[in-house]
Amino acid sequence: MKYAPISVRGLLSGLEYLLYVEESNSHPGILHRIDPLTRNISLILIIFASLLTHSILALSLMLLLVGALVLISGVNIRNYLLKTSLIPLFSLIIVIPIPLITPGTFLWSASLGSLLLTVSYEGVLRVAEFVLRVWLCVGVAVLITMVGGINGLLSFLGAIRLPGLFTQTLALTYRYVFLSIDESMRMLLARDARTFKKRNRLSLEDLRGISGVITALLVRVHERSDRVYLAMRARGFSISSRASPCRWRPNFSDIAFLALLSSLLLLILTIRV
Amino acid sequence: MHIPDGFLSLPIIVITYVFAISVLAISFRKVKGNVDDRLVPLMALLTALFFAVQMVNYPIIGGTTAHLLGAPALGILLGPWLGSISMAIILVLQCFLFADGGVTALGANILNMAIIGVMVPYAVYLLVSKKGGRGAVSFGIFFGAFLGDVLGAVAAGLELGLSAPIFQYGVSIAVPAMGIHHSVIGLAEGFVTLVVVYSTIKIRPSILTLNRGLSVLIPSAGGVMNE
Repeated sequence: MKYAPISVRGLLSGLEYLLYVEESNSHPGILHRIDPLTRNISLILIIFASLLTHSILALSLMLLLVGALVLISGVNIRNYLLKTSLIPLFSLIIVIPIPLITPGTFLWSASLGSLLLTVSYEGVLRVAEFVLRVWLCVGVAVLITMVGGINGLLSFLGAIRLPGLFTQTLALTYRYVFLSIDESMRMLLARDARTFKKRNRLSLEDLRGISGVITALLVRVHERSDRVYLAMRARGFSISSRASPCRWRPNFSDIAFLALLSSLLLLILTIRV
Repeated sequence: MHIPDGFLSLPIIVITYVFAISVLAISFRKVKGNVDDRLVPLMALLTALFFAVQMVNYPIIGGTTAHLLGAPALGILLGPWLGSISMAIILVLQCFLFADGGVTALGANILNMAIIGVMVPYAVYLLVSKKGGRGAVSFGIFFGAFLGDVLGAVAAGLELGLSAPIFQYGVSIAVPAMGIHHSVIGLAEGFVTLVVVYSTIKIRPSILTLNRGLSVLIPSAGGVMNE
């Protein structure tokens, strides 16, 4: 039997680790003291500013700015780098042929049998600009959630007047993802306890059993959702109720933060190199 | 199919945001006062399930990423309005937790996956299932899911291609890249949707009755199970 180099349990643990954003709030930094709505709007401004420039220097400076914000926010740097690394890597793969198909100044060439591959300077610059912009935007989006946590996100969505049905379901969905992962782990543990041969890796046999596991998982979690619903009703839950929205009450430091960040972005956008 | 930040041009961002917000506003209006509170935990459960399913994806050269959507199953089980809201929730969570799909591209992602991905399969299913019978219902679910997947991907390709030079490839590369990959994934989507819809009806027939708007589908779905 051939094994894939991964295990189901490993995949689930990895997903749980990547999803968990609450721990970042245990070491509040300067960014945590900014009003959540001002903070999120300021950070989203960086994303929009990145779309207005084609300068690699400007994008690099914005990336440095985000790096500085990460440092003063007190989030776990290792977690942050892990969460922000995958999408830029995907973006790099997507644009890999660009240096080969973009005409321009010769930079490097290699022959692959009868095929001559030529890399142009302009092509490399286009790839660098694209990946830098994606990395910058991903970095900002992840920072928003790592600083505010899921509750900060819910408050932000409430503040922009999204209906209660949306925010309530989003909050429950986030919890159910962990519930589903925990339930899957318990099912895997129960299966291992009943199996003579302990497997740590994903096999073809495991793959065949996955549909049965998913169906059983659906039943278990649905039964629990019924119990959750009854508990929620007992506590006066209604879908019309909104998550407590953060009202915009900026103080001097909030306004100063927004003004400073906007000024820095405007300054960076003037760079044409 | 998630479009990250930095892939779309400003005009495409604005157009897709306006369209997505308009359709979602209609969805919220349609479900207002028409949703049983009991449906919310179930909706969250299905949303969480497909949230996890979408995490398995791979990058496409000339496009974005390819993965199963789960949107057809949400559309058929919850109806087009609740289905599109559920899918939008998945996209917002993925956008902020993983940056998988960007803040600026949220409008485009909602249009491709929560509107086209949910409503096309539902419309095809409704149209085909009117003929009744096990084969017609199964074909409606399968073909609807396939078509929803492919059309959503083609729409993503169009948005990317029209965003050049911000996006590095034009329409002639982005649309086929997305369409070809998702026509293969669409077959898997059709199969998965069939399995999920039928399993759900089999293990929890009450699931469909929770959404009053879907009651029209119960006889055909029940017929399939009884045959």
